[in-house]
Amino acid sequence: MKRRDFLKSVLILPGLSLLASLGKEGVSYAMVVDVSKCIGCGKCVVACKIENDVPKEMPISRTWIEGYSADYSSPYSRTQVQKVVMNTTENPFIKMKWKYKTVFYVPKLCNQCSSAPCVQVCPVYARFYTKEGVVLVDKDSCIGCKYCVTACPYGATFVHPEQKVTDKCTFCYHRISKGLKPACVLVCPTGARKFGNINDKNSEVYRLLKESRVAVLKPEMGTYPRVFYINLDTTVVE
Amino acid sequence: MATGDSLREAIFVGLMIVLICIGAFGVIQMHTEPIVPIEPFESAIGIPWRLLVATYLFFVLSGLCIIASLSEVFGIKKFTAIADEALILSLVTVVVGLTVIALDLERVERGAYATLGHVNAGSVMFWMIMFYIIEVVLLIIEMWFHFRNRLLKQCEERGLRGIFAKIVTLRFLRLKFLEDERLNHEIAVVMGFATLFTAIIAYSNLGALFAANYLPAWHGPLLPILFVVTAVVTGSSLSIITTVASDWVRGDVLKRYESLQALKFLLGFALIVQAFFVGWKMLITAYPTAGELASKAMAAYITGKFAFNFWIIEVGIGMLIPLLLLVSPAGKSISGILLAAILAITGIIFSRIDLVLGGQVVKLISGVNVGNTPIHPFEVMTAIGAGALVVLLYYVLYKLLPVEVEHEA
Amino acid sequence: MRKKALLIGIGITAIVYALAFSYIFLISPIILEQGVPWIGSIVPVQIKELPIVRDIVAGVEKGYISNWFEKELSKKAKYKENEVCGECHKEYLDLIISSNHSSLACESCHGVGEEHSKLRTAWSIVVDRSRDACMSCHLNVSGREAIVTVDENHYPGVKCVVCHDAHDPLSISWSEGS
Repeated sequence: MKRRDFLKSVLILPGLSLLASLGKEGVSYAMVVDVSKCIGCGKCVVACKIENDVPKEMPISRTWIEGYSADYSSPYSRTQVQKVVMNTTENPFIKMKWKYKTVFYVPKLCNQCSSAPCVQVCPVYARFYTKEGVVLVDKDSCIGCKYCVTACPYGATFVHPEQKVTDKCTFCYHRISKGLKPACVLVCPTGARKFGNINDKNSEVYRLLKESRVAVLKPEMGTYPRVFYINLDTTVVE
Repeated sequence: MATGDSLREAIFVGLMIVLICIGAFGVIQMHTEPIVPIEPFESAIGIPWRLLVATYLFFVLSGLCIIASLSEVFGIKKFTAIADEALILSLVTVVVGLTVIALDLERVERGAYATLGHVNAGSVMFWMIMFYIIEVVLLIIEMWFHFRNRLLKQCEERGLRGIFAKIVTLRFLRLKFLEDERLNHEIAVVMGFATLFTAIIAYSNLGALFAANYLPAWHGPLLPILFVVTAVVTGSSLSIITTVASDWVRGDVLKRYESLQALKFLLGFALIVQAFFVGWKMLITAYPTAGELASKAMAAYITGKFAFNFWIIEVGIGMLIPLLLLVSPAGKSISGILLAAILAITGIIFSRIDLVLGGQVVKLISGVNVGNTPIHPFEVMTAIGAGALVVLLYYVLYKLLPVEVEHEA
Repeated sequence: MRKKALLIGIGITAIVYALAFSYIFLISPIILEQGVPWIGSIVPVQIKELPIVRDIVAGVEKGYISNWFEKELSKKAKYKENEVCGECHKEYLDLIISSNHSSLACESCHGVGEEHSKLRTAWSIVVDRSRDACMSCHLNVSGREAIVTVDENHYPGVKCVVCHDAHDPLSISWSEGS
C-alpha cells in the first residue's frame, strides 16, 4: 500500500482502514502489559514525564499506575474495591494502608485504539493515525476544545497546562521510529511492559499474544485497543 | 423627564459595561493568570467542560428563531408583535454564545488553520460550528430583508439611526428591484423558513454532540429532542421577559397582552413536553437494567451532588411551579406570566449546568482521579459578563433598528 | 411576485449551503492531502512574514498531512539505551546482564542519560546509594509478589549497598563489623 493511497483511505474511513490493515504486512505496534509482574514502583511514570515534558508535580500523566485493593464476594456486585492512582512523581503505594487483602497494580496508558473516539471527534483533524497504528496529536493545530478529553473512555487524554493543547501517550513515537523502546518499557525493572511489532514473528509481543490469554480494557466500547493485558482482574474492567 | 430618562439609560449602559469588563477580566485571568498566581483549573483536571460550556449551551439553544418564525413563516398573527424583538435577541444570543465557546477554547487563534482546510468532516463538533455559522449567516440575511422596508424609511431620519439605516440598507448601491415592499417581505419569509430549518438541525446536532459520547448521563437517543424542546422553553420565556421589560420601559404594560397570552400557552406546552422527556430520560438511564455505570451516573442527580440542583431547581422551580402558575388564576395577569418565565429560565440555566458538569461525574470512577466538579469564580465572572454583553448588544440593536410593537394584535 | 421571492430566497439558501459543503468536501481534503503549491505567490508580501501566516502558508503549500509525521519525528529522545551506556561502562553492563538484575536498564536506577551522554561528568547522572533507592522496589508492600522483598526489620538503617552490589545483588560482601 502506497503512503498516498493509505492517507486517502484514512481520510475517507478513519477507523475501518486501520482495522483492515491489521494483520497484513508492515509494522503494527502493540504493547503487552503483564499485570502480575507490576510492583508499583512508579519508574515508568517518572520516565514518561521526563521524556515527554509533562509537568512532574501535577496530577496528570501520559501513563499512570492504578493500585487496586479488593475484597471479593458473591454476588460480584457487592465486591468492595479501593483504588489509588499514581500520576505524579510521588509514589503513594509505599506508605499505603490498603483496606482489603488482595492488592495489585495496573499500569495504564493511551490504548492507541484502532478505532479511536478521539480521532473521530476532533473537529480540526489534529489527531491522526500513523501507518503503524499509533494515534498522534498534531500540537500545532489543536484548538483545545477538549472534546477528545470527554470522548476518551480510558481517561488517557488531558490538557497540557503549559502548552495549552491536549496531550496523550504516543508510544514515544519519536523513539520507536528510531528503533528505541518507549521510555516506560525501557525503565520497567520487572519487564511488566513489553512493546513490539505484532507482525514480526520473532518479537516478544507476538510470542506473548500467541502464548497467553490477553484482555483489553473496556472491550464493549468497540475501540480495538493496541494495549493488551495479561492476568487482568475483572475489577479493572468496569 | 427627558433628562431623567437619559440619565437612567446612561446608568444602565454603564452598569452593563462594568459587568462586561468583569467578564473580560475573568477570561484573561482564566487563560493567562497575570494577576493571581494560581492555576485556575488545577483542581478541575479531568472535568474538561465546565461553566462556560453550560453558558454556551444556554445561549445557542435560545430557540428565539422558532418564536420569531411563528408569525413570519407560519403566519400566526398573535405573535407578530413580538417577532422583531425575538429576531434581534436570537441573533445576539447566538453570536454571544459562539463568542463564549471561542473564549473557552485553549487556543482559539488556531481557528485560522481550520478556516484553511484543516477540518475533520467526521466530527460532530465540526458540524456544530458549521451549522451555527450557517444559521448566523441566514439569520442576518433574514433580518436584512425583514427590516428593510422600515429601514428604507428610517434613512430619512437625522442622527445615528439615519446613518445606520443608510449603511445597512446599502442604499448607495441603488438596488431598485429590492425596494418592492411585498417582495422584501416574502424573501424574509423564505429566509425565515431556511433559518428555522438550520436552527433545528443545529439544536439537534448539538444534542448529538453530547448524546454520541460514551458518558452514560449523556448517552442516549433523547438528548437531541430534549434540546429542541428546551430551546422552545428558553425562547418563549426569554420572549416573555423581553416583551414585558420593553413595554415596562415604554410605560404601556398591557399593550401586548394578546401576544403574552399566546406565549403563555406555548411555554406551558413546552414545559409539559420537557417534563415528560426529562422524566423519561431519567427513567431509562437509571433503571436497574440499564447497567451499573448508568445507575452511578444518575445517582449523582437523584441522591448525589446534583440532587438539590435537579429536584429543587430544575424540576421544582424550573418546571412544576411555572406550570402551576400558568394554569392558576395568576396566569391571567402579566406579573404571573413574567414570574413563570423567570422561574422557567432559572430552571433551564441550572439544567444546562447540571447536564454539562453532572454528566462528567461518572468519569471520576475510571481513568485519572479527580477531586470534585468545581465552578471557579473566574468562570462565573465570565458567564456574568456574557450575560451583560447579550443585554447591551440587544439594547444597542433595539435602539438602532426600527422595531415596531404596534402591529395589529 | 410570490414565485420571484421564493426563487430568490431558495437561491440564497442554496448558495450558503453549497459554499459550506463544497468547502468541506472538495476544498479541505485537497488542502489537507495534496496541498496548494501556488498559495505562496498570491499572499501579499507585507503579511507573509507574520508567524501565524507563515505557518499557515507552509502548511497549505505542502498539505498539512505531510508535516505531521516530520514534526513528531523531529523530537529528540532523552533516554539513551543500554548500548550507549555500554560504550564507556562496558564492565558494569556485562556484570548486570549476567546477574539477577538483568531485566533492569541502566536508566531505571541512574535516571535519564541525556545530559550525561554529552557531558560525561559524574554529577550529570544519578548515583543514589541510599536505602530508599532500593526500597522503591524491594520494600515489602502489598502486591509485590513478583520480586524478592524485605521489610524494615532487615538490618534497619543500613544501606543496602554495604552488603549487596546493585549490579550483582546475589554476591553478598558481608562482614561482621559493618
